[in-house]
Amino acid sequence: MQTIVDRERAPDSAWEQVLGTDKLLLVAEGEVVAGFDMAQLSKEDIVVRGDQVTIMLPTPQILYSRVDNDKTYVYERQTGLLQRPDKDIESEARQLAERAMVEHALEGEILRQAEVNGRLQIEAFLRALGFTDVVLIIQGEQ
Amino acid sequence: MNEESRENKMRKDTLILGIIISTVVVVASLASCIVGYVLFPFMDRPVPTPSPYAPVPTLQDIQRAAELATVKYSLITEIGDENVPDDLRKEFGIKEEILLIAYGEAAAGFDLSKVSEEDMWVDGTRVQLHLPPPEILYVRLDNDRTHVVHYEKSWLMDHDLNLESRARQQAEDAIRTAALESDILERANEYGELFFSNWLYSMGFTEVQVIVG
Repeated sequence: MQTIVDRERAPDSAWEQVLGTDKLLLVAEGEVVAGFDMAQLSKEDIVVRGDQVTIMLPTPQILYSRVDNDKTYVYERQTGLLQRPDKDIESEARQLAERAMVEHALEGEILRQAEVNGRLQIEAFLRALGFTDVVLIIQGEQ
Repeated sequence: MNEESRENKMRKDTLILGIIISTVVVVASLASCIVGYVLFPFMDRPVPTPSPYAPVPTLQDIQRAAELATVKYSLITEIGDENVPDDLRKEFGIKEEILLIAYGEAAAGFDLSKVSEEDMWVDGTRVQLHLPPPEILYVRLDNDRTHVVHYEKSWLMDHDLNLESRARQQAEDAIRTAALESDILERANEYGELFFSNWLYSMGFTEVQVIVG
């Protein structure tokens, strides 16, 4: 996904108010990935009875988010007259961009989508192993 | 006597002139303060504008993340980069430079979307699973911890808009290279074999073979 972050440093003095401070426009691209952390599964979470398998899956979660630094770029930077560029402003903009992507993904129900997709994949995998009755339960949702 | 009175008058004039100049300076200073703080009250300390626009989803969002990250490799690296002008200015040491401390990680695992039914063979309680070779699934920088420790730009130097972006790209490349040199793929391979074997055993199979690659 792509987001645009507009960041401006607050002026410290009247002169900065008049002559401008330091501002930046960042076009950020990145990804947010959600799914089941299968490493959380223990033996007790898997119950097999003949051709039936029941698995207690952990709740889906954001596995990682990242800003794609190959596709992210500064579109504009304006530094006021007699101003030193703020060395932290771009790092802050990238933090904001990543947070915005995660928030947007959560608002877009990425976890629900991860659950649906994850269930389909795990079920297909288990059926390919010969189980005819597959029961997947998300922990905390019985 | 006449000479003395003229000298006194000159001293007096100089003193008056001094007072006038001082008064003008003080008034000018006050005026600038008034301009800054009274006449432009609306400009008083605007809140910084962290205003990320709503992200636009692309195809990447919709792709299924059929990945199982098994091994992670973390690294802190220091990246220095500089922008030196390609003209006479470089002879005078004019440049722009950055020093970035980057915290990041590389994750390696298996892309399970590449596993099809043909990769699984089941006979009673015997099972064989063929996994694709492990791969680097992603490299990411921790944006909360990665920061610029030094930035310097000479007065006559233009600002390179993407100096920091390039430094971050270099940091990611360094993390990827270091992870590969530390045999992350071999470790992902070993861990994957172990993980899937345990998983299959816990599903009741008594004879399990996991083949990677």
